[in-house]
Amino acid sequence: MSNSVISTERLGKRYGRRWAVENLTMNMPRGAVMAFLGPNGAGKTTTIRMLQNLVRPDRGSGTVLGLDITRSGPDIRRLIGYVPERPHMIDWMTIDRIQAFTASFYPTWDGAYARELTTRFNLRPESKIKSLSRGEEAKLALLLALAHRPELLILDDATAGIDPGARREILETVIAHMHQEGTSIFFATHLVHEVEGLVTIVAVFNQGHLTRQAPIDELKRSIRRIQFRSDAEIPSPPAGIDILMRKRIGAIEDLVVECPALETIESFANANHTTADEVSLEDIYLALTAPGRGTS
Amino acid sequence: MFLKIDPKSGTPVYLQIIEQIKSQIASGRLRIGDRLPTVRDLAVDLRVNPNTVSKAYRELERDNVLEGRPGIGSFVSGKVSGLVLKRKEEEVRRHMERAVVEAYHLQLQRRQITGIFTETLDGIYPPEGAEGGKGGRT
Repeated sequence: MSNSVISTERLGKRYGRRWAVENLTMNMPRGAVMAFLGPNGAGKTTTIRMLQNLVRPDRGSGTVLGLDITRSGPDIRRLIGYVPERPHMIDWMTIDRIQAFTASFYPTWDGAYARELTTRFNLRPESKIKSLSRGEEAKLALLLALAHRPELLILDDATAGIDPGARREILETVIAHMHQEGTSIFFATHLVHEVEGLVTIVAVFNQGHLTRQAPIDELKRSIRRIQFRSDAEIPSPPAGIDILMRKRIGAIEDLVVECPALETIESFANANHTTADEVSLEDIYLALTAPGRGTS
Repeated sequence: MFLKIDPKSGTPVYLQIIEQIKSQIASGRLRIGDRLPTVRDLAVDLRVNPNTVSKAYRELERDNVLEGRPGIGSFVSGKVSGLVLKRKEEEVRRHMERAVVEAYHLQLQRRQITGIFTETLDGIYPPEGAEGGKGGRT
């Protein structure tokens, strides 16, 4: 069995003359929690739809759980759990009814687990879907995606526009589930801070391209923020230090830099009477998607 | 909440968990024999990856800070560290050097550093005659 849960090679999708996804090569190992980060319109949802053969790629290839994405759509959809940003559920159905309906598509459906999640989420089995709040709808969508115990869970901005209480319940349920099952999780999101403690691999996606894929620990180890007074002469960093982002905030020149050898960044900062500060995943994401990055 | 983790910090989450558990034991908030939350409960509570919590618990068990009892859970260990005294001193010296270097760069005076050191020490190793504390693990 393949060691990747998701693997793509130069994958692309074009709408008219515009490439929504231009050239995506990425690899997600089994057991990983991957943050697939990118601004709105970057092509995240198109990618996710291609992975399930809901959209046909115009070029390139890919596999999900070892299955060819252009040939095995139904098999892939049976093995994975998918929570879209705006779940389309048949809205005249009750919660009970849609569980029975969904169960019929999945040989591995676990009815007891579905009931356990219904209770945990405080969902009333007799409620009609059209009467649910946005938060309840998202919890139901997660329940329907988890109850067949998928090997891979794909969340496409599943907590966008939901109140903090429901968001917290959703995240906690995902964590408890992955602890129990060792499920690989693919988080497409721009709520970066929410998944920061969960993520093992970060993939930054912008304008149809993968800007970067790396383990989060590696990014956090090699990226730092350095600030200079902007009225002083800003020294250029020594070779080996890559400037990811540079901007001016009032009297401060704000640089986000990367170097595999952290000492190089630290001695550069010290030599210029400033410090090299740690950065959050959000800072890293913003630096890697900044317009005109790498130039001043 | 049992621990306060900041996933945004550049310090890896598993190291933050290790440091905080050690510090809670040192300050007496956790005592020998106390049971720690399960990996699942702590991961859900902190909203971090369960594997990260496992990794922290494993390292703490390896260093004899915690004791894992299969099927029951992890407990604060009463076992003595297996390291010889010289290695223990080296380990502590390394940490102190780091703190002093940091103080130097923050331009603290010698007496200010001594003051902070004595205060910290008193918090964990109460001076002779004072109430409470146990003056170091084992």
